[in-house]
Amino acid sequence: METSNRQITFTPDLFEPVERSPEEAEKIRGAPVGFWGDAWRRLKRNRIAVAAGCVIILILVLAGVGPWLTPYTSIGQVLDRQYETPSLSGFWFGTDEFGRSMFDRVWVGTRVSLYIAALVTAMDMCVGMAYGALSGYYGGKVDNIMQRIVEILVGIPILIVAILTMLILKPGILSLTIAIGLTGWTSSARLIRGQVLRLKEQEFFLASRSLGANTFRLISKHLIPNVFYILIITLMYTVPTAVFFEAFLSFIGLGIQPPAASLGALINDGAHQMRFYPYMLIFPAAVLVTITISFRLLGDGLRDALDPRMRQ
Amino acid sequence: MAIRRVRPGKVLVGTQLSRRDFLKISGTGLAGAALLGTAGCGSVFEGGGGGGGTMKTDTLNINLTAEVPDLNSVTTTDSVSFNVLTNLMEGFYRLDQNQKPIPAAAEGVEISSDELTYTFTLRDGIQWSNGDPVTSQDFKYAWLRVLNPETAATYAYIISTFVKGADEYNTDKAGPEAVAIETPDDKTLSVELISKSPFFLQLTSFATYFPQQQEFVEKMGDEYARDGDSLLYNGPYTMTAGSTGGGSTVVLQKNEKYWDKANVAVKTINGRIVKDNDTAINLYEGGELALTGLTGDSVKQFKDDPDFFRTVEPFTVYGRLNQKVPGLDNLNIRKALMIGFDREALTDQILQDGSVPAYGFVPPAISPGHGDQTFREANGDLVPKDVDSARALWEKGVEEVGEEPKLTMLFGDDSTGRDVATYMKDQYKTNLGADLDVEIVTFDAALDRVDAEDYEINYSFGWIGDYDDPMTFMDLYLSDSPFNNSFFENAEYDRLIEEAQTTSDLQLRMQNMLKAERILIEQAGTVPVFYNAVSGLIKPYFKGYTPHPFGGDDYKYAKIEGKS
Amino acid sequence: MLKYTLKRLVNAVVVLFIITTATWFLMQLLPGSPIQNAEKLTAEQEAQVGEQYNLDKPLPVQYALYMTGLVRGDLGNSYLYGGTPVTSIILDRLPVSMFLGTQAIVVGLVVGLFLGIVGALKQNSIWDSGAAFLAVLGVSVPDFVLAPLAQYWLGLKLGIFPIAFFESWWHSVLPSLVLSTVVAAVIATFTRTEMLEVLGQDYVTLAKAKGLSKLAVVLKHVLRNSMIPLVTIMLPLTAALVTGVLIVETVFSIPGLGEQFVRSIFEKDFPIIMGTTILFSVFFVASYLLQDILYGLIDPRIRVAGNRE
Repeated sequence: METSNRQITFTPDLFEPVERSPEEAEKIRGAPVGFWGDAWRRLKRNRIAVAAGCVIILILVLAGVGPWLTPYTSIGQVLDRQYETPSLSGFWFGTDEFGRSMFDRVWVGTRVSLYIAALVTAMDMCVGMAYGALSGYYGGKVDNIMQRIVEILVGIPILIVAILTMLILKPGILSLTIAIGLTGWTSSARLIRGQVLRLKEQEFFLASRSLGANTFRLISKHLIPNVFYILIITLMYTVPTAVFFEAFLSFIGLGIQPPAASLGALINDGAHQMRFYPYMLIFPAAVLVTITISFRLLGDGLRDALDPRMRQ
Repeated sequence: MAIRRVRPGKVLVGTQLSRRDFLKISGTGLAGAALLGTAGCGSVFEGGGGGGGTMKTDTLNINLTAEVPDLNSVTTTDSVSFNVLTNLMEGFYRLDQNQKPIPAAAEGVEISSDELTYTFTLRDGIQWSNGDPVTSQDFKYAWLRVLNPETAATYAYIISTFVKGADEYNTDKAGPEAVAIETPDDKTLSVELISKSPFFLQLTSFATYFPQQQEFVEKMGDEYARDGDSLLYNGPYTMTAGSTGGGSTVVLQKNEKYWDKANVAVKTINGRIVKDNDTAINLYEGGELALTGLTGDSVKQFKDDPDFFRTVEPFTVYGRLNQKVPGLDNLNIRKALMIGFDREALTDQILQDGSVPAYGFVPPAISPGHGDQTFREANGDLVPKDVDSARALWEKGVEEVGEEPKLTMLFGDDSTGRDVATYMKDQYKTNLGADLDVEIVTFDAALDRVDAEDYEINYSFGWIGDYDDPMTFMDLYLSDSPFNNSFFENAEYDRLIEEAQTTSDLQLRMQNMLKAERILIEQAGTVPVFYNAVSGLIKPYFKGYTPHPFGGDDYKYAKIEGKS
Repeated sequence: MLKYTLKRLVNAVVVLFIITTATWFLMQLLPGSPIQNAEKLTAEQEAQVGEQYNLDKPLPVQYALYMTGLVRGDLGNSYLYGGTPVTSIILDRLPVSMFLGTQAIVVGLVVGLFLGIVGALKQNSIWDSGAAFLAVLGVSVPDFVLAPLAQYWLGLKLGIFPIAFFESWWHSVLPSLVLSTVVAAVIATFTRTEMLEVLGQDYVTLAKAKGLSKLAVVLKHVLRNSMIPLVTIMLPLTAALVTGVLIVETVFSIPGLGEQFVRSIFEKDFPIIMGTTILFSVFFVASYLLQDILYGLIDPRIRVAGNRE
């Protein structure tokens, strides 16, 4: 008979259904290695997740190394070879209106998009983690105030914040990161806080505290490792969201400016050229969709692996 | 109830609200929302009256490209509003298909021998759409409203630059009586000009010179020009649907009270609002639009399409060099910047939208010039085309200044701006060996900065002529012109232009302007880059399309022929 | 319960107030001015126009003027559209966007539930994989890729749907379909997960043991229990829909709020930006509030804890 208590934690992440936090937290105390090793084994058995992981690695490699595979650059204009269709002997992904190699542009663009996503995720994790941990740990009035602030932030549509931020700051990688990440960390914060609140009541924690461990030690050694896996899962979903958002801002014209490239900017341009030169849309869109799908599938897989009750 | 199995983590709703009830509530909620949506259904959709996919043979579907901002002829300034207003109202004269003024509301004009007094006689029987006759007081009322300092009309200068006493009233130095407009009777209006302006008749076809009926306007108050019912019409069409700022189709119907209705061929015009250019092209190809503009990349793609057309506008895009910035006050530096880039490559390969390279300030679309030649033909290509000669000039300039100036080019973030920015930076590096920085800000921010003279070099903006005469460009570089934000000051230039503005000798006037332009270029006070072109696709059955470069698109002359 | 609800309501109002204020101040930071055709205006004329819109008064005064007007329901007049009241522009366009959104939700709900249920009932079969694949796809292909593609292929090339505009119900179908992909995908994944949860429960096994047919089991027990947590995804769904509506309205030339919003941002039409932002914020806060209230209804622990605070 299961008498466990499950807490429905909420994440306003755009495409993410309810997260689950296993009461396995209790088990971590005793044998951390066992838990992770256990999870890793489960993950390996999920073939889809493994495939997704491989795809991600492939994309990362291509993003890093791709442009070096060709003699062209992403901004060099070859004015007499405009709008060439993709071919194995010439430009692999074709060229755009300025005769620039689409292959190079797509991978450089992927780099930029992933870089922004990584920055946003890092910001998300650090700020969210710190905020949530502190809020949950101190509880009481401090917690109250901090939660009020979060509520307000959540109430402002991310869209508006992003657009306004981009209008005030000059479009660029840093401003995009700020715009997208400014309100996104709230979901991590709430998750962490929820976890912390629960963990605070756990015996191992109370024991440690009564033994006189200071706040810092308590937070870093006990709370954080136990919430880490939640963060990893969140990370898997934040990356595609950030890439998506950047693409959306480019659609409105607030994203990365030419001649620099990002997946969003390339897709936007490609959509305009779709009628005559569909390859300009297909390649960047395919990369974007692949990234999104892979991260999600991997995220799903991780979540399943770390949540033993999903097994059937 | 007996023992309930609690689903882990979810306390049963049944303690407070049974599952059944909950479902009922959420179900009704959803249904309610849906009903709310569909209840508005009837008014939400445009319905057949407003649009209709298939076109009948006496209807034209055009694209306004944006909601109409302002249909008040006294305050309106933008092209979308002009495109609609030109067909709803008219002034003393209207431009024909060759851009020449022909009598419209007026049946004729008497010009005094010194060419300073114009006396217009209104046509017999012309009426407003409510049956009231159009009177000369309607014109005077509207013109004075434009000049009234409280109206703060942007285009007041198009009256105050030419009509005697107008500027004093507009700048609050005198009352409306000071303005030299007389209406001896209901059908006559005479106006005195400051100096000879051969293009004055053309000016009266401009929206700012349209009449308004005082009684109607005052009755409408703030609601004036809000929608079809709050406007009076004296032009070929009336507006039967649509509103300012509204997203629904603007429908124009032939005005049965129009004096020349016999010559208006198209009965209905549907002004659709399609902002996305790709969508507009899709609609055009699907046969739902008779005409569409082409922007950006789509111009290159459709260049060889049989429906393609292109008009070169009286619009010069030119670079400003802020002469208060150290380095830019040196003539050789400025000349190097002016000469040191390939304009042909810019227009043919970068912009590729039909724009024409500019080697002079006044665009070729301005017709008055010397004898049979247009102004541009008369002065020819003033900017030296030898790009290689620029390097020597640059180096000489650097020597004179003492060090290489560190200059930043400011650009707006519209697509043209960005393309040009990349290109120019590259060109200056290659041709001058100079490293110029590029700063890109939002279009509006760039505009503000240029206005405030807070920039060093700017290539994003241009000027569209307000009327068909070189003066509309030449007066921009007078040292006291509010639009001269490069601190270009040349005493001889000022003298030539001011003389041209006041003299009654038309030959002298033209000569002065030609000379002044030569000075402007020799002194590298401005860097002409290209003359803008407008491209689009037009269906073969749409004949008589008359876009006025000065003014809006005119549909009076449109005809539909050969459409099944 | 009442106390809890009231608390949340007060909270919501406070949040709205703060958002409005913050947005208003942020707006002041935007570069550029709302004055049209600025390049053709002299400094004096600009000043005159500024006066008409209260731009010459000190900031705090402008703020106070705006807020008092807001309470009265007056959102000011548009800069761009010759002084048309913002309220009338927004009210004109609101039903359109609401209709699209609602239709998208309905379609998404139906399709999503179907896919989710199928996936859960036939777990790990080809149906499950198929449904899951569709769900991931629906969530991964961005609206701004899907919309132009749909318009071009289904509208122009195949002629099944109208290319643009909003003239009849049929015109709203394609845009709603595009919008609904995200909704359907999210609901599908969600439903499947929830249903699997419930299916594993003891009382379901009990019901089956009692001899109820699988269908009856599904209808009577599983479905109801799975629906309740739908509450949790309301907020992210609303967010996704708002983004989607912006795109779809622009591409299909539908005169709704989203299209207006994007344009007003570029034109620096402050009153409209403010008005639309407030409206969006109201939606968000309202759905957030609704979610909290529903939570309170469902889970007495939260309610009780809230009362105790």
